[in-house]
Amino acid sequence: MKRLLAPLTSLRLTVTLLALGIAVVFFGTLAQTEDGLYVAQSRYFRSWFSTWSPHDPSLKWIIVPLPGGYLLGTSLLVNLIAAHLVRFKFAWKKTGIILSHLGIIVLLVGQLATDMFAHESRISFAEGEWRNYSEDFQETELVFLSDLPDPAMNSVVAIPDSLLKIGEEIRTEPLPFTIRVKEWMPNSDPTFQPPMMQRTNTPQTSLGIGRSFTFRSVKETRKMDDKNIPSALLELVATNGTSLGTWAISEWAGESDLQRTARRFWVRAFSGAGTDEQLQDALPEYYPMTARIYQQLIVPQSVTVGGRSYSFTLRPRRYYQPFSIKLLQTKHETYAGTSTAADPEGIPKHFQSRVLVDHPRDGKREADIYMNNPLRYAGLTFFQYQMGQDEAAANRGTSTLQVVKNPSWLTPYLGCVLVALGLLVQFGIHLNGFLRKPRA
Amino acid sequence: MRFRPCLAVLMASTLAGVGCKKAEIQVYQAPKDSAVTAAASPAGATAAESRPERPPWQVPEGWTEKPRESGSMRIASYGISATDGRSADVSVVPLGPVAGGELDNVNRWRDQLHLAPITQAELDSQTGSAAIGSVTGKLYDMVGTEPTLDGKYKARTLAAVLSLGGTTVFFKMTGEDALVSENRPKFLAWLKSVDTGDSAGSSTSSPSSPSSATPPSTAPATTAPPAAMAGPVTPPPATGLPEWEVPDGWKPVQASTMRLASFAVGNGGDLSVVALGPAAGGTLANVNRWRGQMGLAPIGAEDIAGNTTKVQLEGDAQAVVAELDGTGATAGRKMLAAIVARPDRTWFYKLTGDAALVSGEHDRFVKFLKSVKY
Repeated sequence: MKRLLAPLTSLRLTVTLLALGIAVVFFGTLAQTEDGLYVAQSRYFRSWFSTWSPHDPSLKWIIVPLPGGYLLGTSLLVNLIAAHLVRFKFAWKKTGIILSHLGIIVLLVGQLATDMFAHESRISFAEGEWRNYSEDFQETELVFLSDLPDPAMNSVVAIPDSLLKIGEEIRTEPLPFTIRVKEWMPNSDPTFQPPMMQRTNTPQTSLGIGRSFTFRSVKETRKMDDKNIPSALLELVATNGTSLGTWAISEWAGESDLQRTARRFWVRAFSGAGTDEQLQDALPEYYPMTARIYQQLIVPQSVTVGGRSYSFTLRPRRYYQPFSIKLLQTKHETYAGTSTAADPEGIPKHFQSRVLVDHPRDGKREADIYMNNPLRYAGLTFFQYQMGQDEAAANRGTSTLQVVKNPSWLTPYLGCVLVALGLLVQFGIHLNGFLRKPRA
Repeated sequence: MRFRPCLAVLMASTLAGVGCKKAEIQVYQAPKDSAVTAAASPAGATAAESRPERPPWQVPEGWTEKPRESGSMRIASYGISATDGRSADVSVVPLGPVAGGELDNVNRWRDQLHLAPITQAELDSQTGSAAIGSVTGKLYDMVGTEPTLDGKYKARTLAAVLSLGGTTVFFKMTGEDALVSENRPKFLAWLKSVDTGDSAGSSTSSPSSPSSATPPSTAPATTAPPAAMAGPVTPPPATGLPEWEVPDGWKPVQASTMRLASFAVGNGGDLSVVALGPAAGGTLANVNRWRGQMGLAPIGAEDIAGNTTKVQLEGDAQAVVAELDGTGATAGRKMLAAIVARPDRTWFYKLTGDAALVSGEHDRFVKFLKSVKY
């Protein structure tokens, strides 16, 4: 057994792995400039292997093979544990080293657990609104909603966007039809078809929102602050083979927060405003009509099969919570004099949300959430993330909270404490030995 | 060393866990987002509806269709090219009624040809006309004085503008001077071939104009939405203004942007009609929004029934009515507000004014609500 493990215990391996770790961090950081944080993270750190190439097309032939973050982390863990297994001999004077190494193991395993189990989502609401779910930042889901005997409840079938690939046929038990994915656009723009022109163009579909809008695929964004907004064309086919029509679905229609973005997008398109300043000038004139356009984007879509109606939409993936949270009040302070035409909101100084949490078991509780003062509740951490104004009802504040679920959030603290304690103990033992030496 | 197998198992299981993060279809029950039920959309009923796939005009010979660009306002683009590399571009862009003034547009086109702007008087003398389908549109012809194309050719722009109800459609051919002149007859023939259909003529005959969905007898012209809301942004006919009977003493006034209709009620009272999408926040959120406007504290879902009354309307519709007395800054004021959730829209009727006035109008408000036929 020892002979088998011996090559894994090598200190040279440790040094090589650490050096490779530096290289991965270096190339992963370089890649972030073009790929953005999320893509770089998954390609270089949440992977077993990866390759790096310069972004300059003429230098694309340079390919640097790299180990992925998972491979490095696992190898370091194996190396460390194997070394202890092979050389382990308990002695009091080594307590510190053992403790420090245990701390490093806790850090490594904790990070792996964070990667596997931690999850970020957000809650977006306006003052006075309740939410009992949070929404994913990136992932979307196709949902089919149908009525239940309880009029306040819906039966929900949620299909994650990762299953919506072109040509895919999805058949799932509670739905009496098959979903054929005819088109999937990971990022898309809605083009409005004025009624007078609706006969003019070849529509993607003549049903629902497809009557007034066509959706076009656009280049996927990788910027931190931007978001991909997917759309798809689906055909629903009943079990007897009859088509229930081809429908366009889009996150533009299923995500209420996109209203502002979409309406500004149309103002830009109608007015031809290029710069932000021109856009600000054009807003008062063009903004009102965009409300009507938006109304047509969010018309409900549904099919009726066997007397039961199924409405459907593409929305950010939801995570329902056993409690509800209500936004009571928002405070939004900016530094005086920082508001400009291009950025009328100015530079934020203090964002604060007062919320009311209502849990059927624990009762009600009010809390303030602001920078460096998150709310920790029911295994979740709520951070203040964004703030704004409800465009439809001026003066009503809106707030977005980042909701982080990380069951292993304590492991980095524990790991660091163990490493520090181990070092203290080790130095203490040495110091003790030194002081006890008879003086010459 | 008894713990070895344990460690091995731990490691193996963590590694295995990394590999299998798989997305799955979930089936669950969840509370509805709002009080509005997700009923079948009117679109479902018209599923068989289809539209011709050809453009409503005849494309002249020698014009090649160009693929559409994302985000482009063009609904059609054609390219014309001569064998020696000269080219011209034809575009069709529909815009709303507020598509900039006529003079602004012409001067924008002139600017593209490096020509100095002109005045309204000059414009009037340079404006021609062209038959666009069954309608007469305006025609502008302008030619650059410098060789701006590839440094050797002068550019010319031929533009026709069709004003149709709330929509303005721009038909424009721009490119090398001689080639555009050569194609002028084709351009005019193309304009003539445009199928302007039944919607040609005045805005009142537009089938999707909300003003035509409202009989004039019940809603005078002033209650029609302002121009900015008509035209290319009109809702589908099924969701136009409903019919209603206006009580005595209520005077229709010009509606603002968010409102579909406004009435002046008595001395200083204001009634607004606003329609939003089906997911307009739900009854509780809206009642609390109103409470906020009147300086009242929000209430919980359990208190909603005690703080509102229900009014049965014609058909299956039901209105939730809140009667709110102002406090603090709004003391002495009163609000009477109703939400009517329809499958396609949520309707809001709100009467505000002096407490005495609003109390006195209560019965008429309810009668008005009952008179609405969606």
